[in-house]
Amino acid sequence: MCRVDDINSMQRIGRALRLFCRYQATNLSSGMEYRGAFLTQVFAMIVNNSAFIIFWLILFERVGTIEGYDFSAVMFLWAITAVGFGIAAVFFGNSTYLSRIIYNGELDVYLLQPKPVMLNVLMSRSQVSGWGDMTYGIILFLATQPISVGSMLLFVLFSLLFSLVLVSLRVLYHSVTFFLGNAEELAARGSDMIISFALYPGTLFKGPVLMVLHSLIPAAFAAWIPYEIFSKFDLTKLALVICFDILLAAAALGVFRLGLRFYESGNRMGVRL
Amino acid sequence: MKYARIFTISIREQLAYLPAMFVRNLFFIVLFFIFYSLWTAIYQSRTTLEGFTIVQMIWYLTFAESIELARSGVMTQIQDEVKDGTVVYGLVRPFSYIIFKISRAMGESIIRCLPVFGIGFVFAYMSVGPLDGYLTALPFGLLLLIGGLLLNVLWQVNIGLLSFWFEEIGPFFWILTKLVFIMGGLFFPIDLYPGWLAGIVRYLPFAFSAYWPAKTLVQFNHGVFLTGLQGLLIYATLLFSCSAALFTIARKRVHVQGG
Repeated sequence: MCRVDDINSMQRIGRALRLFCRYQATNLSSGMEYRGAFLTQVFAMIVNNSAFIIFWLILFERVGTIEGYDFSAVMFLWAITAVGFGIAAVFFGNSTYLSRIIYNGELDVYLLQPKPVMLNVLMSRSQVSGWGDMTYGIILFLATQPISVGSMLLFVLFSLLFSLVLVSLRVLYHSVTFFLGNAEELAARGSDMIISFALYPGTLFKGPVLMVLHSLIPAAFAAWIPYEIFSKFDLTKLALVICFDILLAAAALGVFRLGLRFYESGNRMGVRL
Repeated sequence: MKYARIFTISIREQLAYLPAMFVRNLFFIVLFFIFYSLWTAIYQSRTTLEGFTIVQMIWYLTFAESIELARSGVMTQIQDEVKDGTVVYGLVRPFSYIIFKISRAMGESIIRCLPVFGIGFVFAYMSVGPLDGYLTALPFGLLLLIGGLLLNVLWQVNIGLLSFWFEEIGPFFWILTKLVFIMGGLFFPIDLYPGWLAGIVRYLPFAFSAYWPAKTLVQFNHGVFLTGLQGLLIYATLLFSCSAALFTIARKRVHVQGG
């Protein structure tokens, strides 16, 4: 019996992966249809992000370290945030549009398809500029961090976990729309606040605000604790980060599923090709 | 006269959304809080940095941010009008399309600036206390602030007009905003740059969008104000001429068909 359950689970994961691959292939080929615009956006996003290197370079040149963080430490935060943000934009591009999809009644189309609803919605859009963020983050990591197999594995892991936290947070906050009506503004501001905080040294923030940064806006789990692990490996902290991220993702999925029960179908006609 | 009327109509339109804007802009408290935390940490071991005290630095940042965050949506409007063809309606009306767009966008920007300016004022006052000489510097600072908004509008109009040639103009805008961030002294005063670099960056157009207006407010003297004013006038004239030239070339690309 147990083996049958295992096989079913494996089949489900396999189907989800196949769906993921097909969506990505389609999204990439549709992005490349406008090759000029695609490359311009990618390049501009790299230049756009690079501007902040100058800011931090000049600041650290002037003031030395800031609360235990030096230039390289802040660049690590930037690198995982950029790659994590890029992954979310490219592979789960609809995560920023969830509220709009819910209140416009556009979920109907996804509900009728024999695929996991949340994954199907999230993956069906890709934001091209995310490729620029990913490229920038990788270059930044290679240019400013010590390179070894271990450091690169941790970088990949933390970037993936950052995107997991970001997408989960967006799903969680946008799901408020199921219960309270259009909460797009609140959800967009609330979920993306994690990026604003994650890009600055975690040691800057003290007092009650730290509780918020470990819960409602979990920048600590997405960026600061990963940096601590990266600079001095600690298995307990790594386990803590992974557990928190998985719990957050499970909470997002749970709230989204609960929200679906409150979802009221619209009478709007739509077709997805 | 008609452009002044367009400007006031735009202000009236935007005033209707002012309370909503205040609520939406409460997010900027978070931004100011992050800046405050960063600069408080930096000032722990010093009282001044390139002549700026922590009080001046926080007031500088809130003032500079209020110009930058009040950007109007004129660039997107022009882009949309070019893409869907409605730009032709603007060509047959008895006014200049460019000045019409600038007048509207200025009305929009000034009202959008109010909530950020107000939130910044309250935040700076509560976090670091009053700024010495604030009331004396305020009229001059506000004048340059309006000039900074005008420069931002003119940049946006120029980039918006590029839609006649480019499918996607967002990337131009991203790069411009980052140039203002870094070379405009939005994140910190240009005085913190290495001497040789500060000497160049201080006189680039981006500095007149943020650095000079904010410096006038926090380290007021007539010299600073007059330099800011001169630069604004020069760059505003240049950018306006550029947009007028771009539009003259662009309108030749407009094809009208159907009825």
